Formats: sequence, C-alpha cells, structure tokens
Amino acid sequence: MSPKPADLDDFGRFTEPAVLILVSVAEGPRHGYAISQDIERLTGHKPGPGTLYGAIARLESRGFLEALEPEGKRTDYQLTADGARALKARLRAMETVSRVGQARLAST
Amino acid sequence: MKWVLSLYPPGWQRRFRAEMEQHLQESGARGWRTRLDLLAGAIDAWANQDLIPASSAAITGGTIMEFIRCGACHQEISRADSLRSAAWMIGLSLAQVIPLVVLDKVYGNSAFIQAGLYAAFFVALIVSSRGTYLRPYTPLARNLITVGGILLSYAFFLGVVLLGELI
Repeated sequence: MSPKPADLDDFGRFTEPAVLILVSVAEGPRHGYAISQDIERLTGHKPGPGTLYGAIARLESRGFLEALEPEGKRTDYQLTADGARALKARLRAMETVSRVGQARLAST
Repeated sequence: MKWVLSLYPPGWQRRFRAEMEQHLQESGARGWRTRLDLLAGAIDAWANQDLIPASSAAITGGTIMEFIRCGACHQEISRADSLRSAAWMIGLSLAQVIPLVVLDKVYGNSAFIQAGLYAAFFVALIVSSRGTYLRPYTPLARNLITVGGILLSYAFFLGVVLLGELI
C-alpha cells in the first residue's frame, strides 16, 4: 500500500472545506458545529453538514486532525503536527498564487 | 431530517451520527440545500468507507442490507446466525433460480422470468437477513421490509429488462 500523501492535493471537492477546517482548529480544538460557525464568520458561507463531516473524515483519516474524547454528543477536533505542516504548505501556495494574481492584475 | 443520516454507511453512523444529529439540532438547518448536501455526503461516504477506521466500521457482512436501515448497527451477529443466514441465502437463491431457468427454457425470453432471475439474489438476501440484520425490528416492520424489498427488487429489474427491450 502506498503511503498517504502529506498534503491536501487529493481531497477533490473537499479541499477548500478541509483547508478552512484546519484554519479553524489552528486556533484551538473545536467541535463540528463550532467549526462550521467559525468558517461562516471567516468566509460568509456555512458548509453543509455532509460536506463538513466528509472533510473531517478525510482529515482525520490522513492524520491531520485528531478527535478528542467525546463530551456527550460533541467531539472536539484538534490540529496535529502533520495537519499544521499541510496547512502551512497550502497557505504558502495560496499566498504565492494571491501575490502573483494581484501583481498581474495591477499591471493590466 | 435525521432520516437522511440513516442513508450513511453503518460505520460512518457509528462514528459521526451523534455529532451530526447534534450539529443539525444546533444549526436548525432544515432546507433542501442541507438535505441535498447530506445526500451527497451519504453517497460519498458509501464510496469512501475506508475513511472510517475499521474499529468503527466493523460489522459482519451484508452491506446492501445495511443500506436499507441501520437498525442493526449496534447488533452483534453470532456465528450461528451468520451460518443460518448463509444457508437461507444459498438455498433460497437455488430454489428460485433453478425453476426460473427451467421456465426460461420453456417459455423463451420472457421479461418477467428474466426479472425474477435478476431479483433472485436480492430476494434471497432480504429473506436471509430476517434472522440477522432485520431482527431488531418489530414483526410488522420486518414483514413490511421483506415484502416491500422483494416487490421493489422485482419491479426494479422488471423495469430494467423492459427498458432494455425497448432500447
């Protein structure tokens, strides 16, 4: 079996929600609904629960996110060291794209 | 709204259902957009069951029956039940297929017989699950699932065969 990639490149339609989830839990452990609210504050859009938990399952299976001991029906998720690395790499790439895009727009 | 969560695979439900129910309750999401998102999520979850650790997903066989409803999610299936179910599965499949093959030879290409042959596996699967995955249900619910499942399977394959003939 091939080792799992250490980035979010194969997350398909879950890539953007996954990045937003990692950004959310980078501040500290949060449960699903709190993550959803944080994403709404950040972007103005709330991810649907199917999308949110699809992304959480992927992040957890990849070791980017860790579920803490459930409290009642709630489970908090925290960022792992691998998750922090993947997020940093993704944010760097986004920063580069943003910088180049802004520069190109400025020159037109 | 919670019925949509029942469409997720059992392993997924064991891992995330309580959380998702809480999420739905707190968010108050009720719209068609949420329903569609959950439906898409359920399809994705069935296609990617390896995302859930084996310890959460473990259940003894029968994923198609599990799709009907996760009533047996937390049920332990004994080895004796599994063997009895397997015997029913094989026996009933043969009991349907053999006469249908004979009828097919006698009457030629009949859509009704073809549909019976295609549906035989599912009919056997549903009936054989009465003593395992369907056991937690009331007798009435079990009978409804059995009869409904058999009729739906047959109607589905009859439709497919008839459609195939038209095309």
